Amino acid sequence: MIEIRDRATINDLLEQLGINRETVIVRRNKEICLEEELLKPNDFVEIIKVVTGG
Amino acid sequence: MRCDKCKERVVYHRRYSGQRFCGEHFLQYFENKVRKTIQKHKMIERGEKIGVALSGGKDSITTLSILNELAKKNLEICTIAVDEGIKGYRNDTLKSAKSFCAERDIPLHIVSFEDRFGTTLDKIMKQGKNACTYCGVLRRRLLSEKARELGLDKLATGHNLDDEVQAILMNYIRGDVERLIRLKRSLPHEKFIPRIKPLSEMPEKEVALYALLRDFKVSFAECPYSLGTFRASIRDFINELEKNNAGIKFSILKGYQKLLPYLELKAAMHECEICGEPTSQKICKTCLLVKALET
Repeated sequence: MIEIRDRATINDLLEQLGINRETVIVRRNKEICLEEELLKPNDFVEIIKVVTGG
Repeated sequence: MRCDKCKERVVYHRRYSGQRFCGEHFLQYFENKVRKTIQKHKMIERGEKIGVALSGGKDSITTLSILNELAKKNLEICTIAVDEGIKGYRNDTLKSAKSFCAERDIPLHIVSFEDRFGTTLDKIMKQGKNACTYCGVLRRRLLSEKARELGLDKLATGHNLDDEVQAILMNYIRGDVERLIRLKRSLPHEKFIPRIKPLSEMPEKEVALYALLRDFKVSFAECPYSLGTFRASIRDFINELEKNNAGIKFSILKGYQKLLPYLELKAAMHECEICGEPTSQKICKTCLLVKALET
């Protein structure tokens, strides 16, 4: 469980989790969204790690 | 936020150009850009037989999907998959490769480390060897051999912009100028099938978004042996730079392309004294590595 401030964005959440936005795609409530978007109460957020190269 | 081209909801903000795309316009932008990259670098000519090196991951599946569309304009497409023998990883990606090809009626040829070299990457790791070195060299050898057997004109790989930029920095940092040059300019040899990289100007994140929006059934799992490698450190370093300096990956690629005309390949291509494959050394890297497994 993590706490985030009011009017936090997806990007704020990623920062708080120590995840680089360049390496993931985020789905909010099953839809791909921008990192700039504001989070709302009860949002269901999926963070898909997509940078796998090697 | 709305798409620059229509009123639909935005799914991608291309930070380095400021463009915002809805799903449909992102797909259009992506496919146009890959087609332009193919044309700009004259990667393909009409009537050619193109093989796609297929792992079943997002990059190779996307490459295949776009080339398969182009194939309707007089191209012949087939695929080659390499089974390195990585338990719990490769089986899943090969499954994706098989079903993608079966659904589209694309020929798939599978070759394996076990059949060709009598070992697997898992066993090589147990011998305490460097997985990425062995995997890269042996995989390239299998692809070359199969490409020749199939009579291909070109072999396409799924390398994206991130892969290219990582390779540029890795070779630069190691001072390996010859490999730095060979990323774009290979020494000609009659046995060597030219490689093409249609996604080489597409950031990895955009390739992943394309695969998700097209609903390709691909795995985003990372190779278990890539953790903690030099390449992984370089990848993380570049992504940190990109986070605060959008477009830095393109800058690195463009800088390299500007530098390339000033660099000269000194080595000449001849045939390996043991196996006869093209190499710039007396003994090719594959033979050296296979020999090292015996000791």
